[in-house]
Amino acid sequence: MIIESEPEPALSQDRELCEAARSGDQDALEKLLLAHYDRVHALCRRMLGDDDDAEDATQETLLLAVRSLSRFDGRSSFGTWIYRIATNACIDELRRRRRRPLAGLDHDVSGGTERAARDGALGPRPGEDPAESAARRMDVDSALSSLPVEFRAAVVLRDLCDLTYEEIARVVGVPVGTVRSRIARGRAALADLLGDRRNPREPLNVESGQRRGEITNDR
Amino acid sequence: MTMNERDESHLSDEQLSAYLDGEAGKGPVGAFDPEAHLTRCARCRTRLEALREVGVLVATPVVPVLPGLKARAVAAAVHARVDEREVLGHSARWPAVRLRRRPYVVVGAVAATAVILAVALPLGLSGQSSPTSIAARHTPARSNATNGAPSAGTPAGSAAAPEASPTTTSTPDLGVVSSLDQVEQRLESAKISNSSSANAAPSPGALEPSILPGCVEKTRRAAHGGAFGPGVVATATYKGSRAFVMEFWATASAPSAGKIVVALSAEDGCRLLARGST
Repeated sequence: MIIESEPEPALSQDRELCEAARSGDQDALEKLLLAHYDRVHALCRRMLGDDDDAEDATQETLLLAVRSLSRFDGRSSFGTWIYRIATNACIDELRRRRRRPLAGLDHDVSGGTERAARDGALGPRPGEDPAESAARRMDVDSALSSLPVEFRAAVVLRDLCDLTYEEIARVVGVPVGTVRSRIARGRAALADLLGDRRNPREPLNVESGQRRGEITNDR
Repeated sequence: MTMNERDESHLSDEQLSAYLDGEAGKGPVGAFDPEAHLTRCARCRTRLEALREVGVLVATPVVPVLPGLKARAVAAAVHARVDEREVLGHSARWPAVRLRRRPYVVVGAVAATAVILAVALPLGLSGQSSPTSIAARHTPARSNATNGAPSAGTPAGSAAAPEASPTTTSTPDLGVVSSLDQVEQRLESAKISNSSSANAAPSPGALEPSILPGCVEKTRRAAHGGAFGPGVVATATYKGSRAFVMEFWATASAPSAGKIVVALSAEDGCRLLARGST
């Protein structure tokens, strides 16, 4: 079963809701947040690779968006703006993880089984073997988690959120050329990593002393 | 094969990636005609497909958003706005609202339960580190546990409405216990008598059903992701330690809780004492 997200909210509708929400209309605010929830959640899930952390980051994003709504100037779309908040929330969470390695201890023990069962429960794509379906999802999460966070963000914002390079540049605060490079290198690394897992006997590129798919620097 | 390994007679990953995104020719890679090259180069076509497949995989959402969770999360954010406006001197620090999945599905979901004992160290029990009421978060009897949204009339100042109001009266204390069997027996008795005093001597000292947020995650993970369940169902003194008794129902993704005793560093004021299935 492939989960269907809600269609992307129309920009004009967003603008109207946003204006009403800023003037204190609680119903408009609720509609606005409901319209964007699925995509924000999907972004957080892909960035963090963990269901519960994604829920927390999504919640944090909503709260920050509500709190900052008065400062939203409308120069970008509401969607781009809330993606920026979500991306930063995810980056903060990933930094917190690095500072508390012990918190992952139990996760390491049980996470694989848990995630495999959960992903398996989602079911395969049409015509896909269920075991392959679960393995594929695990592979994507694992491969994404091996990317530096800025590459991960660029790929997720492009492929999942469907932002243009220019919009991504505004979200993450880097030049468009850097976004272009990060997306390409992130995808290339993912393709190589996933390819390695599909063909585990294929030798790694050891001549360069660098694992295939590994990214070591940015421009 | 990475971009650096590709020779100049082929398109780079950056060119192929930009082509996929309709961004070809806009950047420093300059104008090029990928389609002409792709029609005659199988290697670049293969690479293009690999990059395209990555995009499809990343774009596939992996987790369904539970309707109740979505509604609660949005409602909490909307209420938080009201609260911020009404409470003068609100801290710049945003309240730690953490809405976990709640026990929506009751029928058929209780074939097995995991009972978890978690102890909050003095830091967590003192109430000086912004403890979060875990019972309020998980207790199914609360009005918002089943209707998908915080109850109306949320008091000002409780942005994390479900978390902010302790429910000391509905959480039984099991007294001094030393095994999971005892915990389960006394839980049963408490459920039958529907009394907060249970059938044992009270624990030394009153234990507020509040707990540091990190403890929730550890206990939930110790239940192998059994995210559904009432959460804190009782307090107790377990082998000399003040403890919370938590229940998580078995689910498809957490079919068994196992019988592992988990001990974690008290980095954030919480360690797990025991875990077992009933």
